[in-house]
Amino acid sequence: MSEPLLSNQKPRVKLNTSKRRHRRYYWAYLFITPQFILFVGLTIFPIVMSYVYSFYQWSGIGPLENFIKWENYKELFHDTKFWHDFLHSLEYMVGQTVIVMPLALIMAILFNESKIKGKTFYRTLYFLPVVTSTAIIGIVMANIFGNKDALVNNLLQTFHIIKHPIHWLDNPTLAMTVMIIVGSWKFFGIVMIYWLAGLQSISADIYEAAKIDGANFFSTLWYITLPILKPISAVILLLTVVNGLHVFDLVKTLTDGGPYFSTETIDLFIYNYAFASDGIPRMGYASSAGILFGIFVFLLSIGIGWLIKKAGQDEKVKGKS
Amino acid sequence: MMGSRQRKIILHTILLILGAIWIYPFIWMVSSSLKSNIEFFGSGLNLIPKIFHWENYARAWETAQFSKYFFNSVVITVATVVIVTVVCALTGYALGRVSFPGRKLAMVLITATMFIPKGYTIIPLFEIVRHLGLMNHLSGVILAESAGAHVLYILLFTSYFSTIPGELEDAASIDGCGFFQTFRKVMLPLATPVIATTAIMQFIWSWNDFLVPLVFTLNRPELRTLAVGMYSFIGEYQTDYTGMAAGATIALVPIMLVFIFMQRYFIEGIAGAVKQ
Amino acid sequence: MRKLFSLAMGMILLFSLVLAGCSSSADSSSQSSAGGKATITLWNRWPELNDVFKTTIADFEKENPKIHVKLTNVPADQYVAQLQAAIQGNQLPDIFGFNPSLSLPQLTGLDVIHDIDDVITDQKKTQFVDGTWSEGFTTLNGKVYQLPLMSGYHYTNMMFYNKKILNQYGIKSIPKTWDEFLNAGKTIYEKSQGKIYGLIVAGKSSASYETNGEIMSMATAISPEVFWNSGGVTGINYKTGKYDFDTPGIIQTMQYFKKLKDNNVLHPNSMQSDDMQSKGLFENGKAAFTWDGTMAAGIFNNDGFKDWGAAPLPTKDGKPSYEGFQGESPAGLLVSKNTKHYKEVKTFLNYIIDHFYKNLATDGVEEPPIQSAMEGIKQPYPQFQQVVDIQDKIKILAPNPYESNVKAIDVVNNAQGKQPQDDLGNILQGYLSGQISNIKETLKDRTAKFNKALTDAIKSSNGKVSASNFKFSDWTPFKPYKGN
Repeated sequence: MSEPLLSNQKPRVKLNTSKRRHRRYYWAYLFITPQFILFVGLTIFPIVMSYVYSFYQWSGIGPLENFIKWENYKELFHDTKFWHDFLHSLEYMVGQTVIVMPLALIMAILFNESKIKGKTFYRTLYFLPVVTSTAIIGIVMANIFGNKDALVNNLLQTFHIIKHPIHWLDNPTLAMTVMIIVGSWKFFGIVMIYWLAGLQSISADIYEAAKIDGANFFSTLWYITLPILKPISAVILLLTVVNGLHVFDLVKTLTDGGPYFSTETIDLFIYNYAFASDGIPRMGYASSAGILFGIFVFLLSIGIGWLIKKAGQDEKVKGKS
Repeated sequence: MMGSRQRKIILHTILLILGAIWIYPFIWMVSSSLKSNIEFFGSGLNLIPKIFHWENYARAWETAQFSKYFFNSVVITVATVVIVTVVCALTGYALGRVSFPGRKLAMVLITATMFIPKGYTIIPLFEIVRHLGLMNHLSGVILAESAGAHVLYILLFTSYFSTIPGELEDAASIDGCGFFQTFRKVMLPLATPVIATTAIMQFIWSWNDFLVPLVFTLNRPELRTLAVGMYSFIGEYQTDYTGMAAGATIALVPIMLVFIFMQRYFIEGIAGAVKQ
Repeated sequence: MRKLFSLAMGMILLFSLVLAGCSSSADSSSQSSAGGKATITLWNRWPELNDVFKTTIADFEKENPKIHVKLTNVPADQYVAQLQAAIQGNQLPDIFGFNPSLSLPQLTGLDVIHDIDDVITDQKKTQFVDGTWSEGFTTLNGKVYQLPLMSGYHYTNMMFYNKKILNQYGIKSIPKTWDEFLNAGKTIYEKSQGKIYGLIVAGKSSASYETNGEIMSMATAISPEVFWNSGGVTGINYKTGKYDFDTPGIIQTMQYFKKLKDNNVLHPNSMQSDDMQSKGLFENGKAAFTWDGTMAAGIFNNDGFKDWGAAPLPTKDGKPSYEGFQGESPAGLLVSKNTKHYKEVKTFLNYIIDHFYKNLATDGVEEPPIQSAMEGIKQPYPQFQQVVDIQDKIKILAPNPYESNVKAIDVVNNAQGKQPQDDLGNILQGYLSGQISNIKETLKDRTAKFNKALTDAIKSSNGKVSASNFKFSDWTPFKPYKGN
């Protein structure tokens, strides 16, 4: 009985907008409460604690007693290994980003063509490395890029491209190259999906219009697709960069930082200090390394965030003109 | 000029050859899972084992307790996916559709956590879960796995919900739906692609995560997951590579199925959030 | 109101898992005493001991139906992380494997471990191999804390050879000198047309402890003052009390490795093989020799590879080399202070002494810490005795700085945290890959850094430890050191 009556009272609700707005606020707060609890308890608190650890000399067990102020940070600044590893993380990140971003885009454009049959099949194929645990990938790849009786060298030798096997993982530059290639292979699928998503947000009408105007594939790509993709490409860039800077599992299983630490990254550096299996673990030192590196990543992200904003504004300006 | 048919054949040939190279490591892994430990090192490029050692799978399944771990992985992953998806959908809805006071601050806070390295926060996390009395219980692992700000998911939900026209909400309220009912009956079904995206990505993450399930099941090894179980093949001085390859193959199957079934929504989900 | 209600229901649903957790986890802790059966928990971090534990526990439970032993195998790589978390969370199991990263003084300082003096009585002590009960490793302030699981001699570096390959290419005698070894390797490589190499070692970063040990072990034939020891305080010249890595022995051994590589004797996969990959390549006849630790023997046997023999590592002039034994326990068990079932734990530890040791030898994993447990057992495989004999000969009792001053443990641990994390295996990697050109300079630099960290740590001990604690003027290398 009361239902139709209520719905007839619609104008009254509209009149009372302020009350309605407040009600919406309460609901919104209620909605973010679970996230807030998880966030404060299980994200913020642990992060804050790791900042606290960085001012202590602490092995990870027992009470925090030995407060040493900035000693960990001071030591870190003079630790050449830290800076080398820092550089390796950057190298890896740049390498992976440069390879994955354009190649994944090309593949995505190919798969976006509605004419290709078996899209699902191919997508699954190229996405497969993403879903596999890195532990096993490192072991498999170490066998593929081995020096002797390994796939890559054998192939190159069969086709007479090289005479003697290349010692991929024995050479610092080559080892880093292999890491970047394998890392790109593993991460490729997810970036491809990001690009595909971007491409699908472009409506078919625009392409139709271009076709009518007589634009060929490449001019459509250059003048229509790429400009529209600009804002999302900044987001993808950000995600790729952050992923590349925190490479860990792959290094651990593929090279374990070798040869002679030339592929050791910051995350491995932190791990080795926090959970050292010989010598006393140095949780405080590891924490300070994580924080220093975290600040760098943060600054870099702000830079990319600024790019995103700028790309977005460009679009708006263009849209208006 | 080539005919479109010919062009298609060439394209498919390239895609297939490339695809074969692309998944060669997996073929190698599956073939290794059927070799003996000695053959694993000696057979070089030979993909087909001399004798098929199916017992590697039996060993992985029984001795390495993969049957038990498999069950735990499923429970933990599914529960985590459900919690994360629900929590993120709620948050994304509030952020995307209501401009409540403090919304901007919440967005900034959430985004900021994305860039802070987290690996070594395991000890404080451990202490919280212990204080809640959830140590050595699956729910402790689930809670710890659900931790984190899930920036990407929240942003996906936020932008997706914000693109839904306001008229829809008005119409729902005319029909007598309140805030929550509008969300559940009207908005949430529309967000299926984002839900699928979140689910797949969280699934991949939880399924393969290692340190959390290891540390949070300290005294109850029977609660371990597949990813942890994988390491039972690696010892300080010896590693059972073929058993590990068999285990990895087993662990790969469910996640592949999930992807195949949900991949259509997956792309749509991200695409929908981008479209604004 | 109805909407709010349904939302609340959603929330309840969401956290019902959590609530369910609370109630049932309480159940699980009380489960141990239910039905009058006590459950004791045990963490093992040595996969090679897994089977031995299983059989021993099964027999034990048959004889003691009221005690259930719950064995957990913890991945070695994560063991320290897990112990840290367990100690912080007061979740230690009743019995757990020792890891040198968390030293006895640290653990007793936190009051988390229980001494086992009433298990290891004075009379029992005498049954164990000389040097087993040593300060800082198994005992602390005269109390026994650790029950060793294997002989203290465990993990000696030696050479294994593939009999078939040696016969096939006419290598009549096992090489004793570096030159003989080099020539044998060259012959095999040439005659097999590059299919078979002379030597495979595990030189990947994760296995660099192996090459590290091999280098230091072979170097003692040239410079005996600096010895190697798997779990002890190694790299210190106990004549001078200072770290010393740029000895002629170590430098020449490094150069010898390079020579092996340049002459195609060293298998090209060596520097990227971990311990298991190198064994796999050896078992498959890709290399005639491998240098590895004692435990390789049991693994060859398990893998079904039979045609091998063992010999000491070759040295420059064929003179003997040695490794130090400082009373450290390569594998041992500690008991948690908070155990609720100390009586049952005691029963189990006694059972280990009586049965585990015998099973250890029968399985061919390692010799036990009590010699008499070896008597009358069937040889698990023909080479077992050969391996054990080499090990017993190479390990020589050496000075232990903790014996004179237990506080030296903290100093060494603190110093280790500040010392470079690389070992000689890593440096060998850098040397062979061309990243290090001046090996002498690198080793000198490393020596200086190690000594600086040690001196600093001694200084910060506020006089509790002095440099003289690391100096043993009455010690003669190659002679068992019995203490002062």
